Amino acid sequence: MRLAPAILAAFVSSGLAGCEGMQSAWAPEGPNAQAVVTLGNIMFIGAALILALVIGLTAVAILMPPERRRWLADQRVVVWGGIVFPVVTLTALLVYGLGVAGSMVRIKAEPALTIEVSGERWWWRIRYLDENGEPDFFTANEIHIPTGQPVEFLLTSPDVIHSFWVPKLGGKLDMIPGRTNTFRLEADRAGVYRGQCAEYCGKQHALMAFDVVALEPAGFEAWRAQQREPAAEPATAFLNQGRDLFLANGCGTCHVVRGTPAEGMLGPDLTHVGGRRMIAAGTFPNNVGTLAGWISSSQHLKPGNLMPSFDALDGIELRAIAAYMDSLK
Amino acid sequence: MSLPNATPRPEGELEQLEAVWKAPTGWRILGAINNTYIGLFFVGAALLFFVLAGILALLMRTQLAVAENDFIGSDLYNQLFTMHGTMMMFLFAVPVVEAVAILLLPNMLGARDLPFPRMGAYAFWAYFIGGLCFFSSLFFDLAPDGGWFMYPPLTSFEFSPGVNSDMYMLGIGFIEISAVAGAIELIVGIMRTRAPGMSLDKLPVYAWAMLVFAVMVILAFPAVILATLLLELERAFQWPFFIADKGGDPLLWQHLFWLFGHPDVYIIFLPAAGMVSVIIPTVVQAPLVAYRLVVLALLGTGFVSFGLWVHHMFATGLPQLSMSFFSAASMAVAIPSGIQIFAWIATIASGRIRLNTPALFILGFLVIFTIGGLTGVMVAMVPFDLQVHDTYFVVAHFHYVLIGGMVFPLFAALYYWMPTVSKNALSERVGRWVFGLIFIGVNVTFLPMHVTGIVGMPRRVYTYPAELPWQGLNLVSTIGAFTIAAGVLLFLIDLARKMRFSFGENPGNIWNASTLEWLPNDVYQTRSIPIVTSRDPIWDQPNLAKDVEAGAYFLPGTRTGRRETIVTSPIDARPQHVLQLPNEPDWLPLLAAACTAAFFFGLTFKIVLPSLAIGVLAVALMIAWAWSTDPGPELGPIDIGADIRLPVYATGPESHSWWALITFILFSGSLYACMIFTYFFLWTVNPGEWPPPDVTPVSTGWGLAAAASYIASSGLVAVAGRALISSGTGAGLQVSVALLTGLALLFGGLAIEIYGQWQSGLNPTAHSYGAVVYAFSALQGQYIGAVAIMGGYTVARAVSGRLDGVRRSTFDNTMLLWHYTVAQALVGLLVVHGFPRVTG
Amino acid sequence: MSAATGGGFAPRVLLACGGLLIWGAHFLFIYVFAALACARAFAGMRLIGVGVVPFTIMASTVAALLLLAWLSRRAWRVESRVHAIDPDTPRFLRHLGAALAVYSAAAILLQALPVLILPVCV
Repeated sequence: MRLAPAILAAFVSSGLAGCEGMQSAWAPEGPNAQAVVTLGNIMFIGAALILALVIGLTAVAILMPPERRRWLADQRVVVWGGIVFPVVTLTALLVYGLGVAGSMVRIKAEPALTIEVSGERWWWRIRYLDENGEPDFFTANEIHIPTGQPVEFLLTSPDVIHSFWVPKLGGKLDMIPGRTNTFRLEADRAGVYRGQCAEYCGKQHALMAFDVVALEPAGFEAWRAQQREPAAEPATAFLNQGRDLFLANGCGTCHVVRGTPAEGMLGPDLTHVGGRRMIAAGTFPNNVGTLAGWISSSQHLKPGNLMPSFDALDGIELRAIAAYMDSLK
Repeated sequence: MSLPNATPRPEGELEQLEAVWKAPTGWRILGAINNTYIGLFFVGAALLFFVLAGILALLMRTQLAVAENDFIGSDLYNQLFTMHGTMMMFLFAVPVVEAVAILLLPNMLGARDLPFPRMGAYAFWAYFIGGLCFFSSLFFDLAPDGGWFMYPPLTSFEFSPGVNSDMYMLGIGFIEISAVAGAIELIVGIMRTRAPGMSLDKLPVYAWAMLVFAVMVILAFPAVILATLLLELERAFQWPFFIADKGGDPLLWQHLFWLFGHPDVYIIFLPAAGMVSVIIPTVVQAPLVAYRLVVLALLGTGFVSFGLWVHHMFATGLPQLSMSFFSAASMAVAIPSGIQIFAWIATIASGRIRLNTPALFILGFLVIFTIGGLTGVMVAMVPFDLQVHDTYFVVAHFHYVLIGGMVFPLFAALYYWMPTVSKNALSERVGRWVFGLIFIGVNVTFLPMHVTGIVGMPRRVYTYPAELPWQGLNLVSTIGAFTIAAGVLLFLIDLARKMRFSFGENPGNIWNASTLEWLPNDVYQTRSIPIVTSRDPIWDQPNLAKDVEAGAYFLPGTRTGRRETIVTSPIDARPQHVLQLPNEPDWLPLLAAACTAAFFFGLTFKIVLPSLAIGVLAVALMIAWAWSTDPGPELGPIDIGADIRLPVYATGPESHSWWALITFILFSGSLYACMIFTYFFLWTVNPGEWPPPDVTPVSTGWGLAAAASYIASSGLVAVAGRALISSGTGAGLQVSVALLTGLALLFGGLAIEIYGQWQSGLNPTAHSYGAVVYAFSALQGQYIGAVAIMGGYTVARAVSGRLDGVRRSTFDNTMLLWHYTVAQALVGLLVVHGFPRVTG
Repeated sequence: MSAATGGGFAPRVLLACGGLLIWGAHFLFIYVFAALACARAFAGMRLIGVGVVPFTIMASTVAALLLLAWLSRRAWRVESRVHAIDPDTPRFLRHLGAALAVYSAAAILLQALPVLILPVCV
């Protein structure tokens, strides 16, 4: 255990930096998340006041001399404090909270974009739909959206219950086998917002995260056009060797690289894997080294995940395949 | 008022009372059935599981203390958090509050014991043996790892193929029997065995709380019992209740589980609130303010808590309007909590508080429970919950309400009531340290978790990335966890140093409390059973302790030569008859519990035939134990004092066993209601395909034939009843023939239904429609099996001359369950055969 | 047995808790109705110009409150006529029943409130 540096880090980071972070619901970057922060702040303040009231009255009950606390010893205090006060405040809170909920579900405009996300053990299968609602292209573990427009998500799962959650943009919604759940998120401005599975889904639930990358509309269009393209052709002999090894070792059984014979649908689509920020569902930063490490030892890095470790490859083969993957921007 | 019995009492009367109630010595204490010993064993076992589950938490917190830690891997961690939650909820929280009641309530009510002592002993041993077996699964890598609420499809056969999940379904399912048995005891005990004069308006608030607790257990546990039964059928036989591809729905589990799960947390909290309502008046030496409103609060919470369950499912995509009903009910349920908090504050204000250890834990409870209750209101708002659901914010919330709302009152209770079971009270000096460490530890552990959740850390993760700013918060929580552990350790040390069991040489009423458990007493409660004229008898009735001890009240000895207690009317507590209680030691409950445990765990490991054999042995042991019940009226009527002569036997609605059967029927009705809910829920999620297109509905003739068979069997029971009353020499034969023929008709009805469905080609594994139709029969079969055992037993009683028109409780109990089983069958047939025709 | 004291155990208990039972029935009804209306797609129907779901929920709320009022009066009267050894007992049950009725009414109103604010089936 790396305890000593951790303690140091604790003193530096605890509390103060806490509210920030890529996954903090208290640093909202979208209208839904912002509405929750407002509701939450009102409730926190109310709760703090009520707690102070209870503690204060208890202190009065204990510390004041008997003549000064006789008023508190009356049944009417129980009626006013225990019935009237809660009924009034809770009704008001309910009306406000329902109003917030209502405003989130009353559909105003058509969504700018529809994306299907399927939670699988332990990664995210993503399929973009085009303007006509037809399937456009697949990707995995990283979602790009345009800023300032509502994006509709269609959520499901083929295996167990997962939950789709991007705290900075909004609340979560479960991905339940046999159902398609729908909601919308909108990002106010460009940035990278981390999401994580929020329903225990088995062994590697802890390492099932994803990124939502919000881009200005022009940048988003550029990204989308690039995603529609098939995989980049290898530019060098080494990369060519990488592709050959990729195909020869059966990677195509589970993975798609559009424009090559690799057409397997069991695992993430790798057509543009090189352009993603992270690999293994938000577990490691994406570079040739981590790609190679993942290919050779995924069972050590994320034990129980559904990709075997390809530990029979030698160093050069590994680097070639990893370099090829990295080249698929 | 002149006292019922003249003093001084005759020579030898006290000695005879003591001899009849004498506890077994040495190792034979394992055969004890007196509530005092069983209650003590029960509390001890619950504290053991608390410590064990707490150690699991320390392991988890150690792993989470630093980011990307490798102290514990994902497999073990997932088992640890599942076991921590499951053990805390099923092996500690509910059992401990039930255990305290088993220990205390008879004394507080003025009864000498609970009405079914051997059932209480059985409940304890089933729980203890089952709990130890369940815990030990950790050492064999066989512990369940699906989380304490075990959502399918993760926990079904495809994704959890090992025995681990079966360990939960069968192991915990079995332990739930213990909770339900205890609840039946408490209901009958509270309603029917009180001190004369303790009418409902004088019932201690703790007794009200335990009454509501017990009724909630009866009504809520069936939901999880059915859910685990269905999931086990799915795992073992592939009946697809929760598999979407085959017409099932994972949400069905969630509805059933939380229909139990939400009331469960109030089941845990209300007894603690009851304890607080009894401890505070003593500690401030003033009666409870607003007694009626506090009783209202307990009843209101008990009912309305059944309307909250979907608030655990806010993220599942249900329509907003539907979810908002549950937000509204969650607001409504907070009002009774407000009533109680203000009543407690008002009571404190009306007296002079002594800041002893129980008082400190009560004050700690007020603060921590209030915090938990406030965050509970917050998460009841759907938009807020959608952010914090399944994060550490919720972990913080429920630990605050569970630890604040139950553990703190429990510690107050342990310090407060220790003098009634021990020669020494616990140390006040050490107690302050225990309180301080636990109070500070709880806040240091769980307060930061509110932030941890809001900044994005989900639940049930065995590690987290170093890049996210969660490291510091987690480390602080871990430090807090070890602080709590230090407090608990200190408590255990003091317990070992100071506690010395005693039921006759106790320090006495050292707090000057007002309720009956503080009268001079022994294992038989008080020397004589008092008349109660106030809510605070010791304060308001002068010389009560002295007179009770001198034998001036009711039943100062034993009139039948056996153990006795008075049965009173439910509302006014008028003495009605005297209950004859069994002797000690009695080994049958322990043996039956061990065999039942072996049966369930054997099935878990799929050792079917030996398990069935041991199951049969368990039933045989229960029959042997039952054989000494239903003694008939010969030993009475007896004089209890004040010229009141009471029978020693009752039948019909006055009988305590009738009440137990009715309570069991309420439990069964709730179970069946959940079954019907399951049917209609699956219909709802299969629009237009109910039954699915490839299924031809069975012709109604089968349903009608089955119904006829069932109704005829009920008719035969009525015939047997009349034969019993006519009580001639041939009556035994007539009763036996009628009952046995009736049993054949019961089995016939079931067989007709199952065969009818089967010959139409209906398959329980192809679609949830078939699964639920056969599930109705599976449940019916279990009830028919129970009635068959009871019917056969009744025949044996008749044939052996132990059943006649007067001595008929055995027959009445059988009759009640029989008619219920038939009614249940008819409802089921109506649904299964009638509904698909109505909807077309 | 019970007849001697005027009023059996079960009727008196059911009357005292009647308010909560009505709350439960109302809750179950509005939840099941709203769920079925969405699951079986008849939520679009309208009655006297109002959607069938809001209409039914508000109608059932009025019915529940009326039933509650009637039941509370009956409970009060039953507990006023009971002959008891200790008059404190029926007085306690009268007050308890009345207080439970008030609480149940509040809870019924709270759970009817959402239909005034939220759209159905989203």
